[in-house]
Amino acid sequence: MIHLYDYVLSGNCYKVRLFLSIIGKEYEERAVDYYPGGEHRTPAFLELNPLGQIPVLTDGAVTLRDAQAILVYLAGKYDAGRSWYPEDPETQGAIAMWLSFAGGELMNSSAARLHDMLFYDFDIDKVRAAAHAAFRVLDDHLTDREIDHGDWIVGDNPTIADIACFPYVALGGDGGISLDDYHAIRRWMSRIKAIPGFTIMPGIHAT
Amino acid sequence: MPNQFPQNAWYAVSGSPLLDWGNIMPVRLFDTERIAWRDGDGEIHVWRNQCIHRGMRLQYGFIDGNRLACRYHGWRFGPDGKCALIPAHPDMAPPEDFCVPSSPSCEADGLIWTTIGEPAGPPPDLSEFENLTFCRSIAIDTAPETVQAAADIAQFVPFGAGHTDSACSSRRAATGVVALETSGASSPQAVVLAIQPVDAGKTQLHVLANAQIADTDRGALRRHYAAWARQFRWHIENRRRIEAVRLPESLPAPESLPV
Amino acid sequence: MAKTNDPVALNDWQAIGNLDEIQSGKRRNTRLLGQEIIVEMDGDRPHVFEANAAGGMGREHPAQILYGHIWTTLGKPEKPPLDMPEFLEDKRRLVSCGAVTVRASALRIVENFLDMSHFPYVHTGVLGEEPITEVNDYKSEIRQPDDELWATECSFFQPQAAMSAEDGQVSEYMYRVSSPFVTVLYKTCPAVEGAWDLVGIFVQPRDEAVCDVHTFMLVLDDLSTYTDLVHFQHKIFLQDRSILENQLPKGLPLSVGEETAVKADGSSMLYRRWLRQKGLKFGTWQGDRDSQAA
Repeated sequence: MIHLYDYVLSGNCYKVRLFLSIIGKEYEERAVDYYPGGEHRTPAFLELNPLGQIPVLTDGAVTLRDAQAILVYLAGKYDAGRSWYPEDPETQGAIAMWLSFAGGELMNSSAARLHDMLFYDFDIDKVRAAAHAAFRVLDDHLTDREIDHGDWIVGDNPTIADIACFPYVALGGDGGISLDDYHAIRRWMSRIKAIPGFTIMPGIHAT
Repeated sequence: MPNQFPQNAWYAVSGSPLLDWGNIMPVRLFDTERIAWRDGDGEIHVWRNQCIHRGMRLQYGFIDGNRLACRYHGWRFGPDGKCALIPAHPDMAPPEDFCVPSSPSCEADGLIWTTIGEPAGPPPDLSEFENLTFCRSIAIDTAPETVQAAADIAQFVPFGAGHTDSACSSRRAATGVVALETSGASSPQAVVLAIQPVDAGKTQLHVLANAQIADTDRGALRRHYAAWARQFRWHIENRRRIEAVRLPESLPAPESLPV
Repeated sequence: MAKTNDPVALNDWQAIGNLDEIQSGKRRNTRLLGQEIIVEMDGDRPHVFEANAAGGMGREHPAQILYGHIWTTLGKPEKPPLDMPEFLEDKRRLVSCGAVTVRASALRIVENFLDMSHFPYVHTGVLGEEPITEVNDYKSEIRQPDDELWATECSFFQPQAAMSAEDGQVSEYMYRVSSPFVTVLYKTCPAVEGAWDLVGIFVQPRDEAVCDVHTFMLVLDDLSTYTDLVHFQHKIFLQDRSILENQLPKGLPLSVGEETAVKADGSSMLYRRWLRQKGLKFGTWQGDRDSQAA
C-alpha cells in the first residue's frame, strides 16, 4: 500500500494526490501537522526526509521525497499506457525541463502563498515578480502550443509535466498573483480540470 | 495633447478564438473589472465582474448550459443578465430586477469589443484588412500610450520565404488600433495591433496579421507574429531606446559566435 | 494605515494569537485595527504594547488569556469576551488551528461564517452538494441583555459534516455572534447524540481589509487525531478564503439595497442591521453602489 505523508493545504502534496486520483491508484494518507505544528521539522520526520519537506511517499521498500520525483516513479510504475511519462528520450527531456521549472521557478508562487497566508518570511515583492515572470514563460509556451493545436505542455496528451506545473499556477491568487493576464494558462487549467479523476484542493475551483 | 484613449470608445479585449464556450474571461479596461463569456448560441456578453448578491467576482463562476453561475452561492444568470435561479430557494422565481449590469459588446474582425462609456458609433471598421488572422493577445507592463508610441515606429519582417528587408510604415487605423504595413508591392502584409488600455501601467495588445496565405501556412504565420509580439514586448518593457527595431530578431548562426 | 479612531471597533476585545504561537515566539509583532502591537509573555501573563515609532514598546493595553488565545483591547470595552461554558467540559477537546491571513474585511469573514447557502458550492461534497441546496427557514434575533446575535433552528444536509462523520446527515446548527469580529457555531455532534460541537473564529482585524483569523474547535470527537481535526478545518477555511478575497467591494455594505438579499440571508441582514445600529465604520463600505466594481 502506498503511503503519502501529506498536508491538505500543500500544493506539492496535491501534485501527488491529483495524479493518484487521475490514475485511480489507492493510497493511505499520513497527515503531517505542518501548520501550526511544524512536524516536518522534527527529528522523526527528518529521518524520513532530511530536507524536512512534504510530500514523502513510501511504496513497499521505496521511499521518495520531492513531488516531481514521486510523479516520475508513479507514472513509470503504474501507468500501463505509458502516456503520462512516455519512454522516448525526446519527450522525457522535455518533461524533465518542465519538472525542473515546476520545482524551481514556479515555487515562487508557493513562497508568495506561504507569506500571504501563513506568515512565512519572504521578500514578497521579489517572489511575486519572479512568479509573474515564470507564469509569463508558461503562458507564452502554452500560447505557442495552442497555435500548433496542442492542449498540453508536452506532446499530444497530458503528462506529469502538466500535473507538476498545475498546482502552484492555479494557486497563484492565494499569494496575490493574478492570472488575469495569462489567457493561455487559464484555458490550459480548464482542460486539466476536465481530465477524468481530477480532484480539487482548497483555493482551486472545480471547473 | 488630446486623449489617445478616450473612455467613450470601443476597445478590443480578446481575440475571438480565445473565448470559447465554458470560459469566463476577466476583462480589465481603464482599471474597471468586467467579464466576457459566450452563451450556448455563441453570443458574447460583457458584464460587471461582481455578483449582485454578495459581490463575488463572477470571473470565478462556471457556465451551466446557457447560464453563468456564481461560484459563491450558485446563483444562475441567463444571457440577458437576469437571475434565473437561486439555489437556496429553488422554487422561487427570482424578481425581475435581480440583474447583473452589462456593457455593450460585439464581435467583429476576429476580435471582441467592448466599452465602459457611450461610443458615438460602432467599433472600428477593420474591413480594409481583408485577410485577417488573429495571432495572439499579449500583456505588456507599460502604459497604453507607451505601447502606442512604440507601435508608431515599430518594424516587422513579414512572414514567409523571400522577405528580407521590407520597408514598413505605421499608421493609426482607428482609435486604439495601429497598423504596420509593408510597402513591398507583391504580397503585402500588415500587422494590426488593437490596444486595450488595462490601467495606467498595463496594456493588453491583440495582434492580428493581414496576409494572403494558404490555410496550411496559418499556424506558421501565427507563430511568426507571436514571436514578433514577444520581442516587441521585450523592447518596450526593457525601455530600449524606442527606435525602429527590426523584429523578430533571431540568434546569429553558430559559426559567427565569438570564441 | 494608522490606528483606527472608530470607537465601536476599539472598545471591544479581540484575539491576537493562540498561546502556542505567542509563547514559542513565533508570533510577537502583529497588528490590530491599524496599530502595530508587540506581545510579550511574562511567565503566564501576557502583555500587549503599542509599537512606537522606533519599534519599541509604547503604551500598554489590557491583555488576558481566554480559550487558548491571547486577547487584548485598544479601548475600553463595555462587556467581556464571549462566555463559552463548553470550554470547561472535561470531554471536550480544544483544537486551535493557528492563524491564517485573509485579505478581506473582518465583517465579510464573519458574515460568510453565518451563511449556509454557500455549502454546496464552496464546500462541495463535505458541507453540502447539489441538488440539495435549499436553505430551510430559520430564526435570527438579537438577544439581550448580552447584545449577541443568534441564528437558531438552522439545518442543512451534509455529505461529510465533520471529521468523524461516516455518512451524510442533516446537521443542525446554531450561530452566535458575540461582537462584530467574534462568532461561533454550534452543530450536531456526530459522536454524541443530542450534543453540540463548537467551531468558531476570533477575527483579528489588522486593517480594514486584512485580517488574521484564529479558528478553534471545541469538540467531543475522541477518535480523530488532532492533526486530522486541524486539517479538516484548514480545508474548510481555505475554501472560504478564496471566496472572501474576491468579494467586491472590500468593505461590507451596511445599507439595505446596496447588495441583493433573499430569505436565506436572514442572519446576514440582521448582522448588517446590528452593526449599523452600533455605528461601526471600520471594515464597512463607505462609498456608493455604482462605484463598487466601476
